[in-house]
Amino acid sequence: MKKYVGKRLLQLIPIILGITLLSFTLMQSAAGDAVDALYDNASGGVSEEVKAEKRHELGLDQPFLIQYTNWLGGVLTGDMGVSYISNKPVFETFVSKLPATIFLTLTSILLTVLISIPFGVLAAVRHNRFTDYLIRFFSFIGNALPGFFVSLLLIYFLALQLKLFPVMGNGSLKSIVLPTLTLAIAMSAKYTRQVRTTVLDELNKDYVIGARARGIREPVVLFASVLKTAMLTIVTLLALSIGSLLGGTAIVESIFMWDGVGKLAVDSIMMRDYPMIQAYVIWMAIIYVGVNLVTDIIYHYLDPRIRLEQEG
Amino acid sequence: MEGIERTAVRVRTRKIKKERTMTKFYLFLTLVIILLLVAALAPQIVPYDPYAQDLMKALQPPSPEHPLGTDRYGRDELSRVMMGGQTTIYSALLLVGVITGFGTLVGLLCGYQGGKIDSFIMRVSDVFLAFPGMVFAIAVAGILGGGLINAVVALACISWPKFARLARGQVLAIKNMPYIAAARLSGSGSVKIVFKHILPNIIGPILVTATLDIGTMMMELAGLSFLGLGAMPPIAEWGSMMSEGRSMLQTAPWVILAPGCAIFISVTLFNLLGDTVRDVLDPKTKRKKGVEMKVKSKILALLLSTVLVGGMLTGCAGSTSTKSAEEKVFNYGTMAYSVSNSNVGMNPHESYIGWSALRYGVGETLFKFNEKMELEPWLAKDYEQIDDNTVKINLRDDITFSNGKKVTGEAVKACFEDLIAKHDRAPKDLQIKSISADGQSVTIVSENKVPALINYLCDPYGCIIDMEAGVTADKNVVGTGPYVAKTITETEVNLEANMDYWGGKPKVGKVNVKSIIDGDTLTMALQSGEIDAAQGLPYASLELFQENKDYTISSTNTSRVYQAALNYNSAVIKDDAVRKAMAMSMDKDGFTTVLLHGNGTPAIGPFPANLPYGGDKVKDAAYDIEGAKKVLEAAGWVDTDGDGIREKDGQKLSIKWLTYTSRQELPLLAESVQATYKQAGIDVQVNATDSYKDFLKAGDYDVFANAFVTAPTGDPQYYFTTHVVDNSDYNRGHYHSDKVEALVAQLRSEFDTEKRATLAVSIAQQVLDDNAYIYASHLKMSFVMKKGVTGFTAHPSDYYEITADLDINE
Repeated sequence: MKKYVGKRLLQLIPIILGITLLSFTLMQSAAGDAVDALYDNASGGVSEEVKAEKRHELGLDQPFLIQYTNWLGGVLTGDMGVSYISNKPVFETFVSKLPATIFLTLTSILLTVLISIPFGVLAAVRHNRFTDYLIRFFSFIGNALPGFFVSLLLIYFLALQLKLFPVMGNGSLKSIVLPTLTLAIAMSAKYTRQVRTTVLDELNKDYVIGARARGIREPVVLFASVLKTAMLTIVTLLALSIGSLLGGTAIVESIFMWDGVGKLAVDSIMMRDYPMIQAYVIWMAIIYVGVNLVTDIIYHYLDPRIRLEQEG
Repeated sequence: MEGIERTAVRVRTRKIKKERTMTKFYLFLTLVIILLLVAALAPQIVPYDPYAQDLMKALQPPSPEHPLGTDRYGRDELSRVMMGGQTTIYSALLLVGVITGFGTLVGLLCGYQGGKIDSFIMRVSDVFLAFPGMVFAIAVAGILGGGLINAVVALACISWPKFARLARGQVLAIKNMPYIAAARLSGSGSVKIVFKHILPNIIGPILVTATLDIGTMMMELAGLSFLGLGAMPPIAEWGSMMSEGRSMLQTAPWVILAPGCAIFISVTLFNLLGDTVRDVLDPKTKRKKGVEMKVKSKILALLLSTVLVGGMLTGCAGSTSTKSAEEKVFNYGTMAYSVSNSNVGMNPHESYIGWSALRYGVGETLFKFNEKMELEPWLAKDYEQIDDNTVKINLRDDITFSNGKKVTGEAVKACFEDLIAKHDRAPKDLQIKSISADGQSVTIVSENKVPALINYLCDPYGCIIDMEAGVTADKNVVGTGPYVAKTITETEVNLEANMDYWGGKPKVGKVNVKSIIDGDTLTMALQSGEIDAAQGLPYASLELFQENKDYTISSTNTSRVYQAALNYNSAVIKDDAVRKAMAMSMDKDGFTTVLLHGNGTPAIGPFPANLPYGGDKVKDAAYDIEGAKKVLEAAGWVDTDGDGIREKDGQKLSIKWLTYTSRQELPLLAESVQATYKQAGIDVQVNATDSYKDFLKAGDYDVFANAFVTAPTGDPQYYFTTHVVDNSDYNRGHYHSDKVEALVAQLRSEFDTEKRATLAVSIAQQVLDDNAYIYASHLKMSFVMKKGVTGFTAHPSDYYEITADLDINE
């Protein structure tokens, strides 16, 4: 086990090299650079001369590979660089925004699990009956509404009309409700369906019929056998969604002014703040690989038929 | 007997169930096919041209004539929704087809084969999975220039691993099952095993996921378009239509609800189909007995709802109460303060941070601008121009920094020396050779003649700060203004009144400046009372506050102009008649009143009316489509093939209009021009892209439309030296005029303000006579505040926001 985990962690290195190089290449080939963004966004223009000087100062006039290796060298010595835009250390800025995003991700996942697993199982158990139809009806609605639309509607009704929650994130517990709801509504709708499908699949398998035939009580069949097997698929999907949540809350973070890394990343991309983007990309890689590793290990415990060594 | 009967009943129930599944399947399939047909035939069956603008009919609510109303260009929403269906649905289908096929194949290969290949491909998929989708999409859009296809490519790249992992996980779960081993023992080849024995058993979840993904992908595409990275206007696409309608949620809800409901209905249909596909495809349902489940569902339901209610309570727990402060607190939401505006902090000697110091009442400059952008003394009493290169500034005697220290000539000298040592733009503007201080006066000697030196000193970088107090780590400084920054973060500045302010005691004790960069959040924060005033509201939202007695609005014209530079390197544009017709065909009034909701003033020349050399001091070509037609006809441009577009010598009168989207007015202008130019017989190809710099470099445009602050320091020279003289930085039209060159040369060395104004008028008039630039409108900047807020006024310079005059009367 230890050897396996170590091996997987070693694989982090090529992944990080791969994606930072990929993102560096992409950013490099994109139109406009940090200096253009810096001056064009603020009021008034400046001469090309000033811009050229700034480029030289930031090392942006050097060839692409040299820029990348310089940056990589810095990272290896523990220095992730300084933001082009705010002139603050990238690492510090990033770490200071991380808790907000992790907090939002956890509340959303928690709410999603609390909604989707009970309702998904319930819908499967009450297959093709009223409860099933009702749950499916709501999950259809949740599934078919884009997140930004949901967030605007939530703000409109819950914040403006009823004045229950603040529009903007301000660090208080109350202000996390709307962004959490926005993210959880879409995800719960998706996972309720997924849980229902998976549990239905399991319920139709021969071993369930066998268990029933042996007179095992239905709740025992459901909780001891079916749910345990169904968890395999559910855990995979949830784990993958933690990753996408940690990176994909950007729109919601911007709308609700939630001061996390998603918002930071979008701002940095718009400003072509390479060091900040690279920090974001590295963190995302670490999170993803970590989540995948944990998923595979949970896989192993939930379904011993899958052996970890096969992962290569 | 009884047993047989029951079996018969069961068989019948099973049959009925199967039939019902099939009926449902056919029903949903039919509905989906109808949807696809409507989308496919949209160009033939739309009631109106989805791209035809009619500004007179803008934003009409639903009526028999327009069942879904009209959008802000007066285009029929129903037609646009139908047309948008084509774009949205077919791109989503294409996307899902590609990722499902590719992902499943990869997953099968990896799961079955295992070993090195599996390991390698899974690592590659890890790279893509680990790559944040948003970063990737934005980067791809950045390289390829946005557009729907690129959005599809970006989403495909990040979505296939999901299917690969799903398929692989399924394969791993069944590949060690006895029946696979049996198949292998009986001599089946790998290919046969994979496709005959494994694929059918894993296809269910994959197909269900794929069908569900059609909806998800539709929404993801919409999300990208919503961010401006997908479909480009004027293409009808549900996502971009929703993004257009977003700011009108409260004023014209049909604009966002129509495409929103269309997405909702289509996604629901595909999802319903997905569910029945699952029921039909599932091989197990065929041999399955009629399932009778005697679940103790009541107990279960009770159990589950308990968990759920518990969860809900946890989610909602922890409400906080708000304290009522005794002194007056002003909460101010602004779009202009953010890291991306490079103005976080208070140190004027860095980047654009001085804007924050000046705007929020922390720093003050030696001179300031009045409403007409004329110079007025502020920290200084007056100045004397000693010779062409020397100016002596006399300071007031009663000014102290907020730490109580007196502002002397030495203090100002130290401040300016730090400024030119550290700032990027200031040294080039000021060209200072030496500074000397004597008591309450400062003498500045410049390298070259700088007639606008005093104007430049009014730039926010000219804020006077106490250099002995220095700059803190969070970029805070000691200034002379009515407020002192207590805490500074990237999203908020907390200010407290400077009780010893030289200009009198501020009336409001605390001011919180909050960075709110999303227009709709800003609107709603003002409505919900979280902020007392807002700067930078979207135009569509202003309407909510305009005729509303709970709010007051302060507006002013700024010198930010929306202009079109005509490219003289283009053969068509070189034709004087074409340029003239273009100038005559721009409907500036319609653009500002309808599209900008009156939040802009039609421009004549580069400078607004509040400047002494701006407004109607110059004359432009009046809006006259008929006149434009005559001009074109006289020059030989005639429509010979009857397609509505004129030709001359076999060449179509078609122009490429290059612009970008980060200023909301520019795409609107492009679309407005596209409609009016067409009436005159000129075809306009709009290219609104944020990689416009590549097109500029390549010279691939006839017109470049942009926004520019023409007189940031109240002086006209800056605009002319950057835009109209040979080889200047922003002369994107390669315009040349001997007369203009001579006049600008005079302007560079003229010190007399009135003569400078006269010169500026002559230059601007020559540029207009040549139709080298067409000026569409000037930005009108508005502050919206709660009733009772006074002394908070929009200033044409965009410099001064929080002042000692600010007060709140409940």
